[in-house]
Amino acid sequence: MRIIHCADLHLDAKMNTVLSAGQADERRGELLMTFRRMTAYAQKNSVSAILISGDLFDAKRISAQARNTVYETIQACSDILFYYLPGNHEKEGFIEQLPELPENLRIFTDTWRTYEESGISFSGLVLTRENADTAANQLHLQPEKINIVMLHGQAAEYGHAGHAEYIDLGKLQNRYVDYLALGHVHQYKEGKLDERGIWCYPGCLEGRGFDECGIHGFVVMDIDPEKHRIIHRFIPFARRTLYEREVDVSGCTTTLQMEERVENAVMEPAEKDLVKVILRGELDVTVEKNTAHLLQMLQQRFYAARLEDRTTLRVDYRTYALDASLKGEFVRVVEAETQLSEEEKAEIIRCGLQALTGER
Amino acid sequence: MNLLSCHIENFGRIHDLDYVFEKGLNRILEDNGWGKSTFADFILAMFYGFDGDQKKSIAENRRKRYAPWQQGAFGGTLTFESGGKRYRIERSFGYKNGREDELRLYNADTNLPVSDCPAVPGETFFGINRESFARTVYVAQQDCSTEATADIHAKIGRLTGETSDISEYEIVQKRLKEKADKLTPARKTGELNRLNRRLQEIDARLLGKAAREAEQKNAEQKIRELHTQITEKEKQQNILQDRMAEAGARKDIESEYRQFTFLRKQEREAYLRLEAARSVFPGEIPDQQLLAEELEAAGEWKQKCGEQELFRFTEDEKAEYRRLQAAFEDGVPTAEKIEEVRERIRRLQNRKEQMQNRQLSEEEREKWEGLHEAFAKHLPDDSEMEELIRMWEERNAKKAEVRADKNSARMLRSVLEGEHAEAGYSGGKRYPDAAEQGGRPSFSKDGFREPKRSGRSRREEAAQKAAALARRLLAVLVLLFTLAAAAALGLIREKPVPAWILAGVGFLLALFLWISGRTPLREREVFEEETDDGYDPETEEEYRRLRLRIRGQEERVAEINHRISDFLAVYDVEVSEADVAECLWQMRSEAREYRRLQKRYQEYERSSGTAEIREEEKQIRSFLQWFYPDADAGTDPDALIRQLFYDTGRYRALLEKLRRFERLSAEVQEIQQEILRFFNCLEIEPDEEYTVLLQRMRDCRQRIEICTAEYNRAAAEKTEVERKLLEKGIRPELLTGSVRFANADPISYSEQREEEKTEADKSAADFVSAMDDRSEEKPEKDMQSKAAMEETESEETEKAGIEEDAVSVKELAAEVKRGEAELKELRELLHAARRNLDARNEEVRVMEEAENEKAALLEEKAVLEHRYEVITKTGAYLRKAKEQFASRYMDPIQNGFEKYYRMIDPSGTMQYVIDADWNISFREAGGAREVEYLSAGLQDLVGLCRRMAMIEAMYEKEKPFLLLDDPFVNLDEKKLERAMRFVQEIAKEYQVILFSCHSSRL
Repeated sequence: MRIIHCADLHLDAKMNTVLSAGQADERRGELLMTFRRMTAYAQKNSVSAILISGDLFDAKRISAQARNTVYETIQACSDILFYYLPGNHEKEGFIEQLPELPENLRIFTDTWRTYEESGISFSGLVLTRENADTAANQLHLQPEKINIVMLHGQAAEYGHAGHAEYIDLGKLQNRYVDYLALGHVHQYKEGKLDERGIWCYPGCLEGRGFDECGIHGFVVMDIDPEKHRIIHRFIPFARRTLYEREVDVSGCTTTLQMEERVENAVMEPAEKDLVKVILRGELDVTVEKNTAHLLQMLQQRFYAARLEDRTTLRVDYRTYALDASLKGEFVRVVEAETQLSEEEKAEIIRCGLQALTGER
Repeated sequence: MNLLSCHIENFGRIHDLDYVFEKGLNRILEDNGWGKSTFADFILAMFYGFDGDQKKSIAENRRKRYAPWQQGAFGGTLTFESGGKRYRIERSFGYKNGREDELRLYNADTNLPVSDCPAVPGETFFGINRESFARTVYVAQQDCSTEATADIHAKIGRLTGETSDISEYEIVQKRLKEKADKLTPARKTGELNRLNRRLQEIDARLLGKAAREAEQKNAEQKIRELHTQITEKEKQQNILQDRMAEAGARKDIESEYRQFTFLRKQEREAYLRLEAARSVFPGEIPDQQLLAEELEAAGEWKQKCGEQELFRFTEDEKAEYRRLQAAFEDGVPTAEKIEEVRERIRRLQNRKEQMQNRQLSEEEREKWEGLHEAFAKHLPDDSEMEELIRMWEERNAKKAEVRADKNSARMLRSVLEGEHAEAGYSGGKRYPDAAEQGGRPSFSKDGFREPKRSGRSRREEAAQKAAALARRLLAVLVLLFTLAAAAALGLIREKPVPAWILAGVGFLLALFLWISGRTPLREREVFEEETDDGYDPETEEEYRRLRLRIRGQEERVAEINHRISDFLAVYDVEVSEADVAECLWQMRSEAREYRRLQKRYQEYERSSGTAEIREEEKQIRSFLQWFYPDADAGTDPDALIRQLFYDTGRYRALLEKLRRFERLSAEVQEIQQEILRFFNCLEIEPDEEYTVLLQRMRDCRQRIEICTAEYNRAAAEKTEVERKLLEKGIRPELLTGSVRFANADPISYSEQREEEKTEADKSAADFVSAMDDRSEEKPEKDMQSKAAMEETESEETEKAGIEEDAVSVKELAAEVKRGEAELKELRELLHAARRNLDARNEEVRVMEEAENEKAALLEEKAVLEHRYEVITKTGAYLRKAKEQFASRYMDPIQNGFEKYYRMIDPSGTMQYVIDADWNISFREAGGAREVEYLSAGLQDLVGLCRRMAMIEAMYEKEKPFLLLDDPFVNLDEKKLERAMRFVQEIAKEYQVILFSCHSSRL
């Protein structure tokens, strides 16, 4: 039996401010499309079940399009069972808004529920403040079956009493769990649960902001109940990838030099990707630097780009000590100012020097 | 720097002016309107060109102002000394704009152009721009004060050249200001202002976010509530459904019991009807099959009776039959025989017709006989006739030729007679022509007769002779002439070929003429016989030939005439010459006709065979008479044979008809007997038509079957309902079949049947009579029973123990229906609530996007504000730097000012102060006062001193010249004196060019 494990799709979520309004809408549409592509992949690859370990939608509201898309997609894939574990923030919003529950959609609630299918048991529980502490104790699994348990929260070695978002891995050990299908962490991670089973976060299906850089997708499990064996692998599946690169532009004196360094740093991302570049390093106050140009270059090359200038300016006051021009006078005046920080001084001096030299 | 000389070609009203400058003070005293200011502006223009080309007013557009009205070169030259070198500027200005300006800078010593001629010589040599020049070196009228420009500052700071940035200070501040203005929150066009406005808009939109989110929550809550309500309602509906099912079940029992009683009644009624139907048959009830067969037999009997009648002989047929029977007493001829005889008759008739066809008609016969008589002697064939016709046509043609030839002969004859007359001839034969004859040839039995010939006149012969002689003479003349011409051509012209040709032609012509003058031999002989005394031989020869031909023609004509006449004589035909051709044609066609008729006649004779015909007729008639002995001998045998054919056919038909009639009669009899046997078995006396009776019997039988089926069905239904009731525990006494009739004791079914059977007998007759009526009229008694039955049923229902339900099914159904409606309404509300939630979600989403935008804008705002702050601070610090920078040079200016002011006011009572912006103020009454408080004249002097102080600070090494264009207009006499003293003092150091229109100010 082949199963897909995914989580944290956050369909219909608001996008990072790096995108324009049009791009944000487009990305939301792409998230929905990625979900549909995943179901198409499932149909094409004979997947029998899809586990959604929480946060299928963003917490606050679900648009009609997103709801209908998911509903109709699930209905269309009538030969695939969908196991849906609402996130702790989702509650039953999505389910309540459905005209009717599709037959192939199986829901988990805040009490343990188990579904059996071809020798595999699918158990799940929506963690709440009330049940978080006792959840593990109430889980009873049969050792001869392949047991897949779905939870949504932050895996921790030790629990945090009363906190629903933490999953005490220790309490789930030695309970015949073969695969702990988790959700909540937006990066792919996995680890050993006990001698028998593993835990796994598939990560989110698509990155939404630069805090979700890197590869995203879902996990595919090939299960052989007779041999009691699970082979799993991560499938990169996101339409676009987010990259964050720090570029040290120290020593550069011109925008062009900085541009070269930035280009070298962004060789890997593709045109369809989103890129954030952070300029670092120390520059002379007189250096010719046009961050708008650099940003424009990035925006022309990638789907969306962001540029942060975290360089520091360096002022050599000694060179202006004997400068009899207005420039020299200006630098000396600013240097002597005690109300300003060094950074402010550098900025003012740079601005003044640029003005004096006619730079716009 | 010193000005040395200048030449003004055309500049304003100054035209062709040369001026040599001296060191020190140069006084130029001219009247108003001479062009003093123009002169000064010329010098300014030579160093700096024109500005204000885009201005429209004359005052501001100096180019326009100084363009010479008289046209011509607009410009001049200026020689000056700077840095120890002498230079000469040659400049011409365009009338419209600077593009037409020409500038050349020469080394005045070498007269070689200076390489890298500066575009603005003034900036190069003075190191300041036009404005600064104007504010220092050039003092215009009433413009003694000055503001320090950046150049001045730069100059004063002695930081001239490309590395100077102080001169750009104002520009830099302007740039910073522009940057700041772009960002400023104070101006509408500022980016920060725009951001703030945008943020305000977003904030305004977000004001309603809490409400929207509350609505969203409410919508979610509403959905949850509706879900709950719907779930509750569904539960209630299920309960109602269950109750309805229970009530329905109870109702079913009641209904079944009613049904049972009803079915029992039906069973009873069906039995009665069945019995009534059975009563129609007194004896055994025949089965349907038998009845159908009998009915079919009756139908067949009826049909055969009908057919029988069709084959019964009518009276006429009887008579005809007897007749034919007698005729064919000895046998009926076969059709083949009749056909054979008919064929023989037909052939006979054909033969007769052919005979008739071949036989000539009366007219034809008459014609044939006539032609036969006409051609008795000889029947010419077509070829012979055509030959004769051709010959006659030949004859006619030759006759025409003869006539023509005779005319010619006559002419010749005349010629010959003419000659003969000279010779004394008076006799001679001559051939008369047709005209002299006066008659026409005619055909008769004796043949064709030639007209008599008449003699010719001597005069004509003489004329002929003369003509012939003339021809011969002419021939000689022609020959001689042509020979002469040929000789001339050959000898004189030396053209032998044409000469010979001419000679030949002449010879031939002469020969012809000569010959034409001769007469035929015979005639000549005749003439010789006749005359033999002097005719022209040629004419005679010709005449003879002609005569011979005529004779030949005439002989031929005569021959043909004979032939034709001989031919016609055979037939005793006499026609005129003109009708011969037609006669011949006629004869040819008649011969043809005769041959045709002859042929027919012969054919007719060959084919008549009359005896055979008669024999045949006889045989045929004998045959026919065998059957029709009374037939007339003249009767047409064909008619008789047709009659025979008809009669034989008719006889056979009648025989057949008779046979069929007899056969049908037997069949009818047989069927009838069978039917009667059938009725006898059923003990029925048929008193009506068999088919009708049997149909009625069949209908009765069908009715019996229907009633039996109805009865069986009613019994089965009743049994089924009984069983259901039993299953549901209904008390068993109902199953015994006891039933109450109104006003009757309870009886069992078996007893009831007997009773009902009596009733059935009584109603059988009515039933049978109404059998065909399809309406289901129940006997009145049954109707009465029905009412009684219903009453009884309710009692029995009670007995059966069927309880009445407190709430009827109907009520429950209504409640369920109401519930469904409410459920539907709730679902609709849910649907609407979902739509509402979708809308609220969308609104919230839009607001969240606005929040996103707001966050981005705030971020941007922070960045811009920081940048704005930096720019603003930069400007402030730059200003501070500039002030510090300028203040470094304040002392020299102050000292210079004091020095120059002492020249004007040695007492030095006023204390003046110049600040970093070169503003002058004076101290009075304990405070610094602006110079504007001073009088105009004093302001001018103070301004002048400041200028000089600035100039002194600016030009340490090389002093510039000073242009003073009547600067002391405002001064009173006392001040003027001071001013003049001041000018003289500075002239010791500077070259001063002083313009004035009043000597007092020089």
